[in-house]
Amino acid sequence: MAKRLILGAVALLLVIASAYASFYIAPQERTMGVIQRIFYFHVASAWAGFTAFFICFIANILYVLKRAEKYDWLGVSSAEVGLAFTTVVLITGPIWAHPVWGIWWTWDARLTSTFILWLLYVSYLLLRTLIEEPERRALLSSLFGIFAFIDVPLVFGAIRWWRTQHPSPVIMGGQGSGLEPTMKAVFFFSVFAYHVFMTFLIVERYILEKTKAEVDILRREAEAQ
Amino acid sequence: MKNLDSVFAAYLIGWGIFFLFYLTIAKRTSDLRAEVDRLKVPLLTKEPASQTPGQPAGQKQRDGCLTAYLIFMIVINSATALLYLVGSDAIRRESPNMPGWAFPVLIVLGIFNLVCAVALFKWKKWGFWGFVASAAVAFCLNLYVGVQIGFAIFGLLGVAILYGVLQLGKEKKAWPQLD
Repeated sequence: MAKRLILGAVALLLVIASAYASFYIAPQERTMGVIQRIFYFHVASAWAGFTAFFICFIANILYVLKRAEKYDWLGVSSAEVGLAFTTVVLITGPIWAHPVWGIWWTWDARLTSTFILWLLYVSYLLLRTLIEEPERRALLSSLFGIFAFIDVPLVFGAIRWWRTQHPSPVIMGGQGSGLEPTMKAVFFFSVFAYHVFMTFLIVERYILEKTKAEVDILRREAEAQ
Repeated sequence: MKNLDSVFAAYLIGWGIFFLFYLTIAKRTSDLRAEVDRLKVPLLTKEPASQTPGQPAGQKQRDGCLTAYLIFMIVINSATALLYLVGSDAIRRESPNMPGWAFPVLIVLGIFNLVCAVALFKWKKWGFWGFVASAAVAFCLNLYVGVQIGFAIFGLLGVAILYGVLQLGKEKKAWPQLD
């Protein structure tokens, strides 16, 4: 409990520090002005979401191979946390886009693939509510989770492979791309902060899933008596 | 500064989503823990579950959401007080219209909120009224320094959320347990 509290406090302080750095340390972007400061929150949340889905993907593969319920707990926990981060990405994106593009949303490759990613993981969680039997639920949702992850590389590559309304990549974007050094430092600090926060949320969600399993066992024991 | 309101809106909505998500996890975990306690006692004593509450009678119980919210208030108010204390120069640069006296007032408000959160942890009702007073002062201060009325009212939302969280839970409802 104490370790979890410390992790939570550290995560919260890091997130606050990253907001402070985004507003007061990162320099103002010349073309977009102050609205570009959403970048440090929007992109860091997107990366943290991708990592959460990657953890879910690994957990799903491990469940299929080893059939240990801890991997199922980790899978659903990271899927839910990844979904929360993707929701934030889908909301902060249009808030950034509206003053810059003059529209809230457009069906370009990056935006559409991200929306599909969100729908896929909503379906993953819905699927779990439809199957009663725990082992069957874990197996089917794991298989679906492995399939859903295919969209993550598509989201990542969308702005590299196709012409989109969405800005071109500034990190790992090839020649001519990149960030000013202070902006880069603030960005990577934000990415780190949101990854710590994501870890905290996954740990909390995992404990919830573990407690749920404990309740199921106790209920069965109580019924057997 | 053009579009600053959009930037704030993005951060506020994003953090709001994360906070609500965390609250739902804390609430569900707390409910399940209570269920585990309820189910464990009859297994040990072989008595019916409904007749044996998880906690001894007379002991105050706090809902998980309230615990999470109070921890959040403690951390956020400590951070706010520190931010105004350490980063006042940077804030002055970004908000030149902010009067000099506003900084010590905001630092004191942050520390006062911290004390109120600790008081609520110790089941003192004045902690809640302290939050109400502090929100009222912050509301007036925001209007004085030129914050839009919509955003200033948004600041009062914290008290409404606190009141709501104090009403959560059945046996664990905190409001009637406050001294």
